[in-house]
Amino acid sequence: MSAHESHLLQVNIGPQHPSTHGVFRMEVTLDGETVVALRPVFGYLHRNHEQLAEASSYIQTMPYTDRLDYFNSMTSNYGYALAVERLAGIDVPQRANYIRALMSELTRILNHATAIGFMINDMGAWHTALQFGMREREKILDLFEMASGARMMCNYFRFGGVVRDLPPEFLPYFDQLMRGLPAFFDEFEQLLRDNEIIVARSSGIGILPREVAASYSVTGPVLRGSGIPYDIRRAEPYGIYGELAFDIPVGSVGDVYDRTLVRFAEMRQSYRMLQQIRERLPDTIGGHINPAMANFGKQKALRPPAGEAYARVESPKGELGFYLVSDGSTRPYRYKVRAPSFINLTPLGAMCRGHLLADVVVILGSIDIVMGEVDR
Amino acid sequence: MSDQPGERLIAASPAAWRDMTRLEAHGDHLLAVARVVRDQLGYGMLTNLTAVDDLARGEIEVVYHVVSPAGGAPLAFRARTPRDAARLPSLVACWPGAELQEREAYDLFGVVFDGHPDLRRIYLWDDFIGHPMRRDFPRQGDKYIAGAGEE
Repeated sequence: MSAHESHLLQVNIGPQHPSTHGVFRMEVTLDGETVVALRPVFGYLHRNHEQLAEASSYIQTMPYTDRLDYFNSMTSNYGYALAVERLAGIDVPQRANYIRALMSELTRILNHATAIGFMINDMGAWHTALQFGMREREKILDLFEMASGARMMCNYFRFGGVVRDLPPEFLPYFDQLMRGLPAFFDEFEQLLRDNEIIVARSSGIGILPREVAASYSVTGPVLRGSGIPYDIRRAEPYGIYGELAFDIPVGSVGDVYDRTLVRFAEMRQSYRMLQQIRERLPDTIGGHINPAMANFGKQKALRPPAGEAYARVESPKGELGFYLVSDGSTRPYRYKVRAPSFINLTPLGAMCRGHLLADVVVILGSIDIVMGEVDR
Repeated sequence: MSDQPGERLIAASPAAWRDMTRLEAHGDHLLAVARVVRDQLGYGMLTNLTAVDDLARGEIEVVYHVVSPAGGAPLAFRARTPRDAARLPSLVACWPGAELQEREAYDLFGVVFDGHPDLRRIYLWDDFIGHPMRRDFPRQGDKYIAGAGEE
């Protein structure tokens, strides 16, 4: 060991640490308080989700996808349903697609509202800022409960549509929520966006330059924060996203602050999409599920023809992809989840190098990970 | 070892690759094919990397899905390697984003990626024996059997 290296300090952050968003460990090498190297350590929540799916029928995996990103079960359901529909050639009626997009955009608002709150937790504002996000999240979870019967583990999607249509009490409550959302965005941004301490803690921190962002395979707000307007809803539209008007907010520097600004702006874009969906929803046709798949026995006995399919959705955290290989039986031969929070961690070490130890948790918070999806 | 798919690929012009139903590279050419896909076809992002255990043919197929940051559907290309000596060149030099996903394929399928900067198990503990996503990994109920999968 050289004289220079001898004063380096190895520190383990996690797996049990309030700022690591679950059981996640980082091995950090420090020179004083400055990070020299950082290695993420995975696997504390690994349960071989993929093997369980390969041992189950197609529909049995649907509730299990809820447990991937347990904040956003609706978008996890969506990605899986899309992949199976592509594999088996199942059409989705117009109304079902509208309901799916409605649930996805509500999910995005709740995810971003809490992700910003959790990141500010990591800066030391313990739970105060988060409560504003949590308050709106509760209302959205009420809506999920009305539609699916569950607040978090929704299991709402079926191959060819959704499990049941929106109940009568759904839309009045939804309209009430929508009336309050702009005020929430204003309040949330006013409190946090220009807050001196937050700007000081986040601007210039954890920069992921535009030139390298795409090569690291990062997606979602992390990629857009680095200035690349890549959004699967635009790049490869699915469902009704080709018909909706929305902008793709991007950052300029690619630091923690930019990623936060992208999330603030995306909530407003989701609101814009929800307005369009709400306006057209009463005129939609086709029911909530493809009639050929409405009987649950059909879902259970599904045998897609031999082949493979890759489908991806823009989950609030990035590209959520499902790769399926069928051998013609009732169980997938291969089932793979391309989890955004996992792959977004690839440049973590590079982003943290040269920053202070206290910034590491903030950078991690700005990536927005969920361990259920990282470790699978 | 026969090199049919790889040779066909190299013989055809990269522009024709987009229309191929199955783009299969031989391991020896994989890195070169990946560079052409990235630089000449414009697929700047490796989005998905996964292995499929083809037990019937005794091979493991590694599938790469790449996308263009400008948009459009992904392009898939793949490479095959024998199950009993699964080994392919790493694409980390081409796409740094392959790092964690190659570790995952190594951990769960036992594919060794030559040239990977840090090829270690990622989910399972270091002294775990075997690669549980292989189709012939012994299973009893859903419990892990100590020492199972020993080669």
